[in-house]
Amino acid sequence: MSFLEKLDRLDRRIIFLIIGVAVFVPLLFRVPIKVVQSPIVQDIYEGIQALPEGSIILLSFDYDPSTLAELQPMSEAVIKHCIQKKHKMVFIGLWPQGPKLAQGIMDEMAPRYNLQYGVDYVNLGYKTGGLVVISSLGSAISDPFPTDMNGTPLRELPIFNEVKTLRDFDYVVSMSAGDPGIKHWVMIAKDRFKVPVGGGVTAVSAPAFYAYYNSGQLEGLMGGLRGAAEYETLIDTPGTASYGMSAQNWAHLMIILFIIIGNSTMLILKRRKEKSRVR
Amino acid sequence: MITAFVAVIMIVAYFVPKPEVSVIRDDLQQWFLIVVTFTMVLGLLNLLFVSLHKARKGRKEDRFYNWVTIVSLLGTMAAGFLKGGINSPAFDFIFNYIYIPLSATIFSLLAFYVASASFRAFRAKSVMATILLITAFIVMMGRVPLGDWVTGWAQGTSLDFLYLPNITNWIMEVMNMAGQRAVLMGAALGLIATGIKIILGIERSYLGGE
Repeated sequence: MSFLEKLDRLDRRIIFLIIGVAVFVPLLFRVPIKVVQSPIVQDIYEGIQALPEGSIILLSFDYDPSTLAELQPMSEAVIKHCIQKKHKMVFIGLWPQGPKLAQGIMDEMAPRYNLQYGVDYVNLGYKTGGLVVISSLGSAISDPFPTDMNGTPLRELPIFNEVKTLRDFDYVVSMSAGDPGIKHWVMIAKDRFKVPVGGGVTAVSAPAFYAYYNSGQLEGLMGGLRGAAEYETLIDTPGTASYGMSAQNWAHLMIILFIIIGNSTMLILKRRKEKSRVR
Repeated sequence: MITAFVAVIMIVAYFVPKPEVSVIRDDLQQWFLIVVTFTMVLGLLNLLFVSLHKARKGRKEDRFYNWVTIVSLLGTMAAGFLKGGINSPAFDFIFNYIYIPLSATIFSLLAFYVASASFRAFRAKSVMATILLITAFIVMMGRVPLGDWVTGWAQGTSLDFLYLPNITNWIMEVMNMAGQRAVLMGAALGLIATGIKIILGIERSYLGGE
């Protein structure tokens, strides 16, 4: 068996090993990478940046830990931005695991930035029902969420003195890994209640949302780890995504090399076969 | 009849912002949330009974995994009922140190399979496959700093159109969007047609019928 034939039948474990090393080594050295800004990410940043201090942002955690690597850095970056701008935050989850992921971020950030629960931020928890939950928020927040995640009635939380319905929020940010998610926020919050909606999605699902962005229904969108890294660069706070981009960079390079090698060997072997047939 | 009544109320309430209509809509929405919550209980019981059945009478080699499902389900539930609810240390431990790493690991395996597939299956065997390959190539380069490093020299010059992140943005915002729009509009029209069929009682498969 020639070298090319061996290469063509390369053991998949070798490919796994190469990808493993390509991802692991850059993560080990933690070199942050600044990425080129794209207008679609810049728009969501500018939307939140332009709001007056003390605006109230609804952050919907519509994902679970399987997409944590891509979406959690986005959530962290947006929360950091809201804290920088002294915006107030209300967290909810259309996915059961979402509010717990939000809590994980706030457990770390609240003491660091001296944020007070009930005044600067509130976690309302999870409610099943997707689209209907969003629609109910339009009537009264207390309809689907009579209490917060810990069972405290909303009337006892100062942040809800100013916010009664979905219309009272200045911006909605949905970090979404599927259904229900950002599409439903666009359909109800933006189209029906005219509240600006932006957010983040996984890299594989991002192409499906460009149509909403172009039509103006979506203020801006972060797609995958790259989107999160762009946002971190915009707020000048390198985080998990900026470090992760280095690993993604090498992983993409390896995949590109695999494609080139795979196609080159295929073409050469094909030509050789044709030549031997002619002989 | 019930479906048609509820559907008409919801449609009317969307277009007629009158309190008389929205009160009925709000009530219906509350009913929906209550019913959906019960379906979760139903799902939970279903998972429990199916797993129990398989754990006792299923294939021998699979029985262990069904017990794992049952123990995990009941264990997590018990932790949630402890003092502090989902903020109890036991629930936090399960969520942070078992559930998150396991979920993230399963999803991360995708990178390895994509790499393997890119080597074995992503081949330029036809014109269409070659176009797909070239597009994927450009987008993959343009989405990471690699694209900037390789074609950064072209940025801001008369050869700006060769700058890979710009080409990637163009592919996403023009070519991709055109395709996505067509899919979205097609799906929306299909949804409207199905909705009308359900309201009129022509489509009854959701009730378990033909």
